Amino acid sequence: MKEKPATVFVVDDDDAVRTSLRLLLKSVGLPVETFASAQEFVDSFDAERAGCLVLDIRMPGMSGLELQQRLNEIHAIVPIVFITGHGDVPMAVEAMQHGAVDFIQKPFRDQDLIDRINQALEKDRDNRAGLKERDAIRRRMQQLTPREREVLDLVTQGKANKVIAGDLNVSQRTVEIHRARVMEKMGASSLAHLVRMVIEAERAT
Amino acid sequence: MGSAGSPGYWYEGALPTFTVGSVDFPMSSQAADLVMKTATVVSVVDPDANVRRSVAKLLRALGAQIEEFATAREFLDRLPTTIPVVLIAEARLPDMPGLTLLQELRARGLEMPVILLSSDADVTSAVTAMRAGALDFIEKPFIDRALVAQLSPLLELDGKPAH
Repeated sequence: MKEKPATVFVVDDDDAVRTSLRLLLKSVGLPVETFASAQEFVDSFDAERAGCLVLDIRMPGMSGLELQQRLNEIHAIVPIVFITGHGDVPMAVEAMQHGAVDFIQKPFRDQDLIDRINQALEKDRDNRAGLKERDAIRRRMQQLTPREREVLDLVTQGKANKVIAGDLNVSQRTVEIHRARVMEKMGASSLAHLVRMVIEAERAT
Repeated sequence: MGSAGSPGYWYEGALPTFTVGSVDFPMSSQAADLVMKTATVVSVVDPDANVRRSVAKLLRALGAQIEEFATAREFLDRLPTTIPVVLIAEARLPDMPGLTLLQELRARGLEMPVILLSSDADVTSAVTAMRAGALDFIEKPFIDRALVAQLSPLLELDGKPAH
């Protein structure tokens, strides 16, 4: 299945702004989709699609900050670059605290906006790669037998084979065998690597 | 675990220790006292003594210990011995921008929350500070409510009230 290329989603109620952003972004080869309202964006939102959001902060109906909140509530990871004609410090700080990657004021230089958008797209790529990696680790963990899973938990708690053998009431040799199977199934090159994978897998998405 | 020491000299209960190699030594009562105190220290760096005083008053009410500094240099000089749980700093310090101070802390591997204060902030500098990892960027003079909102959960999280 071929994924759609990363897209810049522009949400702004001003026709002229949408048009000029569309032309600007197309001119540097970035796929663009524009929306005249936050609601319109929500209605067609697809969390699977890679890209970033360029969002006007003040719009009639749902504001940019409200849209950000809505997206946070559904744990959407799409990075947001806010643009505003009349922002103030508290508004900017709030947007950043809620996870915006940037907040820029009009008028801005075209190149500045493109730079910020490229940073946002890079962040989205990183986030998605991280999620993919986490899924892969979780899938590998699901391949473990219940006993191997127990050994994994104890090993990553830092317990020695001898202690684990005592905990599980089996021989140390048996623990060693389970442990080797865990390392193999998880594709772990070292204990530290294994611990990192478990931490990664347990992170909330 | 250290066990030596005359009765009454050490804190009761679990002895605070410091580690050299693989050996744990008990700390002197003065050292232990310092560690206890620094557990909830909030540092305030602002050239304006009035701002420091009002922030200090507010923070004492929240149960924090305050260290006041007029310049970034004074604060950095004290850092090896006093590492605050939160730093509150004016964004335009006379000797160093608050943003640079934040970056200096991060460069030293210190990840404590940093709150910047400013009376003549613009959106760009606020956004730059937030991108650099500031917890908040608060406009003077109305800083009390915002500070309480940010600090209450932090101080409860990181330590018990000092008094």
